[in-house]
Amino acid sequence: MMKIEWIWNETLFQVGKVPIILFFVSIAIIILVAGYLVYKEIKKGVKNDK
Amino acid sequence: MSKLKETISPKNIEVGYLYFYVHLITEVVCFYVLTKQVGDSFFLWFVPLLYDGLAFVPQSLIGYLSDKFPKLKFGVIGTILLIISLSMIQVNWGKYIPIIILCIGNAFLHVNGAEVTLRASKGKMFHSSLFVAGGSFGVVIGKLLGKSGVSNYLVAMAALTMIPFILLAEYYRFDKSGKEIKVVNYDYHNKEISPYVVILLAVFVVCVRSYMGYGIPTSWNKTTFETIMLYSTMGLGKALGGLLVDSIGIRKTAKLSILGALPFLIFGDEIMLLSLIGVMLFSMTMAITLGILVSALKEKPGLAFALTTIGLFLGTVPIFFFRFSSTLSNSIIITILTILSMLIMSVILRKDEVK
Repeated sequence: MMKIEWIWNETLFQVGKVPIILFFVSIAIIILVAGYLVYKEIKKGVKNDK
Repeated sequence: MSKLKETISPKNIEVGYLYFYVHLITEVVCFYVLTKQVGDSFFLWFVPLLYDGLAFVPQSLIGYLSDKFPKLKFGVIGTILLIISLSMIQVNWGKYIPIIILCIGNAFLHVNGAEVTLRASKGKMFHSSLFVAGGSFGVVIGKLLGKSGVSNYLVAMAALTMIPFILLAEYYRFDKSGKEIKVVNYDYHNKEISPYVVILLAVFVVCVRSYMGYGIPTSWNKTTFETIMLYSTMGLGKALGGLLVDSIGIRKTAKLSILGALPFLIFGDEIMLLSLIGVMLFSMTMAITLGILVSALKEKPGLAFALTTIGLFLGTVPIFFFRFSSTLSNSIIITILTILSMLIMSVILRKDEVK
């Protein structure tokens, strides 16, 4: 039987919700910017190929 | 004979060895600091997450800048940041700020290593896989030094020794006229599929590889010697992956590494030798995913390398929140993910040339 064990509850409260949320929000922003840069580069590459 | 020589000692391979050393020392410094800083249970959970996030994810932006401004010495900047971090620990400057600076330094060094090795290798994967392999050896040495109580000064001296290696490797990034060498001959992805889809699927495979790396059952690993064996095998596998891509082709290497690793990983839970064979085969996949991303984003090798590190971070996130409580369920997940990765690879990889 598949059993999932959650291991974050105790420590999350020690770190605090705000720093964790800030951490993940900043990571998400960087990933979005990286995604945009990749989009831009591929678009440029397709244009050059034409 | 000359073909064998060309495979194991291709043009500009020196740059791979130079960055093998640089990457090794980078990880020694980082894992020395992390092991020293992870003191209590709270840090035990949060520091690795913070480290993975801040060392891996910003590489995308640093990689983009490195592609744009090739004359900037990103490797030297990274080394200076590592030394600043070590100095802050020496004077007890809190726990978070030295780690954040350490992570950024680590990111600068990784991006520079990827730029230099990918540009110098002219389409071969062995150079960059040698560079990546150095890190596995560095991780275990850093962890041992962190536990042994070696002085910060000694580790800072080791960090300083990277500078001549970095400067020497920079010569391989430019041609004789001083222009940056273009990334050529990387032709690993299936051109019939949109590059957006190729990139998304390749990053997904990196996530899976990263998650599986933490999920591999290794209950045999109990002593320091066994830990050294585990990390050394990982390093060896990464280097071997690049060598095989160059010699037998990317598609064959993908089949061998992904499908070949599965039985060894599952049945090697308690048998070190079987497990190590599985870990070595599994580690070879690094060269494949990097090859695909560089092939799809030729003009921007720094950004392409950074996408693999974003995948590595995303793949590790779940392990900080939950785990499967039995070896059986873990093995089922590993099997499903392996088959999924193989299917994706068979779609996004180009066919190997018949030689």
